[in-house]
Amino acid sequence: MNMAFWLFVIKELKSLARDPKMLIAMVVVPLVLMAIVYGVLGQAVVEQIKQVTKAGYSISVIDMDRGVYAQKFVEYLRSLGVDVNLVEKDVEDKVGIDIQNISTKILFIIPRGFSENISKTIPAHIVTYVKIESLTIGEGGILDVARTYVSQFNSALLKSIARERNIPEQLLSGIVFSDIVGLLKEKIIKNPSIFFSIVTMGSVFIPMIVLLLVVFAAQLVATSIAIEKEEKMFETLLSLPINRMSVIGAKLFTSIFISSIYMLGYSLILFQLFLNQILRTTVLTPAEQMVGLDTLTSFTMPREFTVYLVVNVVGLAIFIVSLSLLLSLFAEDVRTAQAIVGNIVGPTIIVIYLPMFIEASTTETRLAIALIPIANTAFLSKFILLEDYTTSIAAAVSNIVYGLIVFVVLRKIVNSETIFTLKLFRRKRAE
Amino acid sequence: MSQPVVVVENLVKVYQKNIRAVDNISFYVYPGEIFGLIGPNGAGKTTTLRIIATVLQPTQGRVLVYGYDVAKDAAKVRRIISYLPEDAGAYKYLTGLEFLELVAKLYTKDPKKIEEFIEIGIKLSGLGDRLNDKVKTYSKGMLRRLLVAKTLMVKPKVAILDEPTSGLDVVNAVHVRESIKRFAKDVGGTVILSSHNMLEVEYLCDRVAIIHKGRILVVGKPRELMERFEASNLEEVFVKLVWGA
Ligand SMILES: Nc1ncnc2c1ncn2[C@@H]1O[C@H](COP(=O)(O)OP(=O)(O)OP(=O)(O)O)[C@@H](O)[C@H]1O
Ligand SMILES: [Mg+2]
Repeated sequence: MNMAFWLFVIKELKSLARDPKMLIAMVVVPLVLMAIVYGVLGQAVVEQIKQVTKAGYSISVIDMDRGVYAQKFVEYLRSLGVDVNLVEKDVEDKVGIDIQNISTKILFIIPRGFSENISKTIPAHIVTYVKIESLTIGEGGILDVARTYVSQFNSALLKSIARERNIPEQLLSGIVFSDIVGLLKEKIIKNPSIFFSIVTMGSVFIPMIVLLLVVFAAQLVATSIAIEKEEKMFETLLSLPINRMSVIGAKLFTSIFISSIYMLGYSLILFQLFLNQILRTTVLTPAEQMVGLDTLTSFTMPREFTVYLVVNVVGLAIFIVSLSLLLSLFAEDVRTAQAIVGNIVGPTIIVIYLPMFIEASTTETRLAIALIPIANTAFLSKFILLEDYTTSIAAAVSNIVYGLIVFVVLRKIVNSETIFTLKLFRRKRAE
Repeated sequence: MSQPVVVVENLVKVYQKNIRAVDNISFYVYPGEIFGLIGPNGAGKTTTLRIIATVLQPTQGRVLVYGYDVAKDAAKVRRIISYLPEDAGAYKYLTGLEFLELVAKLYTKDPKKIEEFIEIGIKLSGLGDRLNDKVKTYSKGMLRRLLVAKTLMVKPKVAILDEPTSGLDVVNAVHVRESIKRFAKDVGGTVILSSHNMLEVEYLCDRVAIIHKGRILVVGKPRELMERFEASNLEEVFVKLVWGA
């Protein structure tokens, strides 16, 4: 076991607990970043939802009921200005429908007995298929669009039934319900709300937490290197009978360790909110009632996801934090070091985070994204959902490779006099 | 005379391709000696000490400490030296005692030695109860005393002290000088130091090298130099040499 390493870990922790400069790096910087990231994300999601809503103006309907209420539903949709494409389908045809050939994102299937149920005031269901293609964050909005059409039809119908039969509207609860099913390539996703929760988690929350963790650790490590210079211990350190890399290692370790704990707390709060939401959506989804369709395998997140994610995140942390450490070696004081990391690493990270709004449809685009740090974290869940394993592996491993490269450069600098003579960001001092 | 423990031969250090901070100097330091490098600002004292302390590498020439080359065997050299940089500090948010403890543990794993080092450090610093306060609260003189203590307490074979008394008042300077003398006498350690203060050097050093513009002008015992240059103190020797040069 390396004695110097642990001595410096303890020293770092002590200083961290006692030094207000560290507190600034710990609290203020991540908070500012969080605000920026949330702002950017929020804006982007709003844009995407707008687009999705537009796509919801074109809908396909398969009418297997051929009854009066099915007719009314189609008329109702048209009255809303929706472009309804009626797909012909023989009632006796037991073979599944080739849904892949349907061009709209939403497909309503009105099952047999739909009108009969309604005329007997028995609840009737519309099976709703939603095509999932781009896996962008806003795509989940299409579920709400589909659900809204059915629930609006439901209210309209309730009103007219109440009028016809002369019963107070309040006595009738719902009569038309929608069973929403997602379609991802050849797979049926029975609970698309949860699916989109997973997509959002994979492509927004996890990368965001990872991003904050990494920026936070980067700030910490830069601060702690600069503190060695500000407290004028740097030269002394270089003459000590210890492996210099154990000091560097201790700094990397403490920064990543502290920020992991910090972010774990933060993400627990976030997941608390998030889990509640998943539970709520589960309650809303009615039991399925499949008609005339082959049920394909239902969806679960592949277990490899965790492994890929851990490899990706560990690599990312090593890469970004070593890089910040390297950059902070150029700085003479804490303020400069924090500014370097804040001004160079921060925006770079946000910029490479942005491709998450891209639709990664071609293999080449996906592979390119897999090689960009942080972007690959944001995309990892999509690659796995799309079952693109080459890309998933590339996304998992590439960060580690970058991390190792930076680490090798770092070691070279640290073990030569360059570590002492590097002074590009020297602040002018009044002497 | 015995074998020199520090050998500096034809040492050249060039910064940024054209600043010749040290220009072909040679000197030898013998066991138990207190050796002084004296010279005006920018003479190359700090540069020379940094090379002996393995912080910088020679551009040309060689420097050996107990036979180990500072460039090739830096790790071995670091085990037998202890260095006090000119503009050194300590971890502000540790107490003086915690700082001494940290340094002691970096030099040895043996718990007995760690204790011994800390005990010597406490005595050498003379800071008493103030050692329990954070370094942040120390005055310049107290900090320097702490740093001299941390440098000498680990009983290095060679202690390298860059201007150990600069900026100190008389009381603190005397304290530091006594610590250095005691180290050489009690531990039998060798000391290389730099200074501007000629009186101090006269009192403290067994031999001195006068260095100017990266070159050594003369090496010898203070008394001998004074006789040779018919001067009443080292300051005069220095003036005669520099003006003469
Ligand atoms: N990192 C550096 N880069 C470039 N030049 C340097 C560097 N460090 C020192 N020098 C130059 O080298 C020369 C010798 O400097 P050095 O610090 O060794 O002198 P010194 O004798 O210790 O002076 P002082 O008494 O002021 O401490 C000076 O001209 C100085 O400007
Ligand atoms: Mg100097």
